[in-house]
Amino acid sequence: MIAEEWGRFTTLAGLTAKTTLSSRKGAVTWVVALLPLYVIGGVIAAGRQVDIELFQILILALLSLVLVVTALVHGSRLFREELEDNTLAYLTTRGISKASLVAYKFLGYYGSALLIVTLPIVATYFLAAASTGVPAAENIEVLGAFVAMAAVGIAAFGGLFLLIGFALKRALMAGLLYGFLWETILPILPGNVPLLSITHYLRSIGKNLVSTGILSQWITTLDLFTAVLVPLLIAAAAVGLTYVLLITREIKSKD
Amino acid sequence: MEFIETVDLKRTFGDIVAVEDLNLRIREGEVFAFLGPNGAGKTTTVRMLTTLIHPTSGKAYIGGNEVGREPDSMNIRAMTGFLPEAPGLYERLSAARNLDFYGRLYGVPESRRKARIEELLKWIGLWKRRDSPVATFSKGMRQKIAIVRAMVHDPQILFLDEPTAGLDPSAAKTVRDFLVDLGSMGKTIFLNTHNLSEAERVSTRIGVVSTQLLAQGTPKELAARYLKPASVFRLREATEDVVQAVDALDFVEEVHVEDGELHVSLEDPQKGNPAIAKAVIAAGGEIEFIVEKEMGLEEVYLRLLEDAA
Repeated sequence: MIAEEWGRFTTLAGLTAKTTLSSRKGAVTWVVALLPLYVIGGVIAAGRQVDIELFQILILALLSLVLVVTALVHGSRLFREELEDNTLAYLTTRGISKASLVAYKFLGYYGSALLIVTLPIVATYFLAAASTGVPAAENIEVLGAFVAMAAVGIAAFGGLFLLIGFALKRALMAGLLYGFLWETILPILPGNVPLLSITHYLRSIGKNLVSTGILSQWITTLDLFTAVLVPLLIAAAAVGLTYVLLITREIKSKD
Repeated sequence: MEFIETVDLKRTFGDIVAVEDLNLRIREGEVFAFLGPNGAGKTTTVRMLTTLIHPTSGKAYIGGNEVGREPDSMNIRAMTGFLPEAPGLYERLSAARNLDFYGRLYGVPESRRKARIEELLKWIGLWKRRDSPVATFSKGMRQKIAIVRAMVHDPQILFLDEPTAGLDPSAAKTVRDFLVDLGSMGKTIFLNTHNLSEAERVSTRIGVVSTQLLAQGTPKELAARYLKPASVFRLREATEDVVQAVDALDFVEEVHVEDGELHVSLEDPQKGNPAIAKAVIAAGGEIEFIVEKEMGLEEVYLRLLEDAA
């Protein structure tokens, strides 16, 4: 029984991961995710050293964009493409439960999208360290903070875009509006308004993990636990809601 | 043993009743054609039986498992194969990868899966194209892949929804031949179709539906039940005198001339034909031959739909 379920997980998550990493859309997100590497590589090539301060500024400036684009492109298509290609109706009548279907697809997305986002950050970090001659281990907590932010962000944004992708035909448009208006404007507004944006929680994770640079100056009242927990709860709620939609909405073979 | 059973099955979409009071009993190994016009509720019925949608009321059982009850639904999915109206194949994946994907989801062990995929692709003549993406296949080829996809886990029951719809005549014939082969393998097949000759050729029993089940039985049983027997008298000349003489016989229910032949409806042709022959000859007619009129499914079908309307 467990072996059979494991087989279903590897099959579905594997196909999702393969599509995420190697499809044409996957190639586009790789190009976007590699932005930090181009920028920092360009700065180094121009003869300037990239210290940990500059590394933080550049990654922070680009991370939101990379997270939103990667999660939007891959999270929203998890079910939207299945609906548009008429493959979901068949899939939901086959030997896999609907809960597993949602969970395994999301996990397949999560692993592969995380790889797309974190690999360039790690490569950029080591490139920056090499440019200054500072041992890579010296500021490793900064790298750890960014990887943690990416890990939580890919889950939270991915969950939301999974839900939007299932519920809305114009998921990409809705996702772009959310990602680039809501998540850009709300974090910089005064008072408690930033609490309504995932970006605020992600930056609060960084603030709690590092003691130097721009991240450490982020204005937040959130502790690390809350900053991690809330986005993960958002992800879980969105994945759960997608499951509810899947079991309540009747999938047509010609949607 | 009843393998598929529905009891007062009903499904509505808002105010529209798609299926009503559906009571079906299909035995193991039967090829059951579910025949009806567009909008008769055929697809809705298959979607209920394959656990894709819930019934509004009534019950349905597949191999003793109740449709709509979650633990039973998983058993139903494991024991059934399904060809939906739209094949819904992964276009970017090859034929073999499509089959492998679903074989894995069914938990078919790798060694058996590989052998099964080879067997099925060879059977449909697409083994040489096994590594080609489905996007490069013709409609008929995709349909064949979709049918064998439904069989990759060797299910006991196959639900096929309009398997030849939208195919050109040669592809449709290939798929039909294929269904005859499937029937001979002893699978229980539930075939949705509005194609009468397909139903007649492929199935062992037929159900005619138009929201409600209008009739079920073998084509012969349906003809016997719903059509009057008739004899056809081929005459040298079908004159008005001959028609009147035959019509005057008590036991004759209806008589008309069609393509120069006298078509006579009556309860018992064996008993009545000699008297009709005598009446024809007495009226100056010359009989070339007498045959029993063949009662086609088409006549039964049209009659049932006409009555239902």
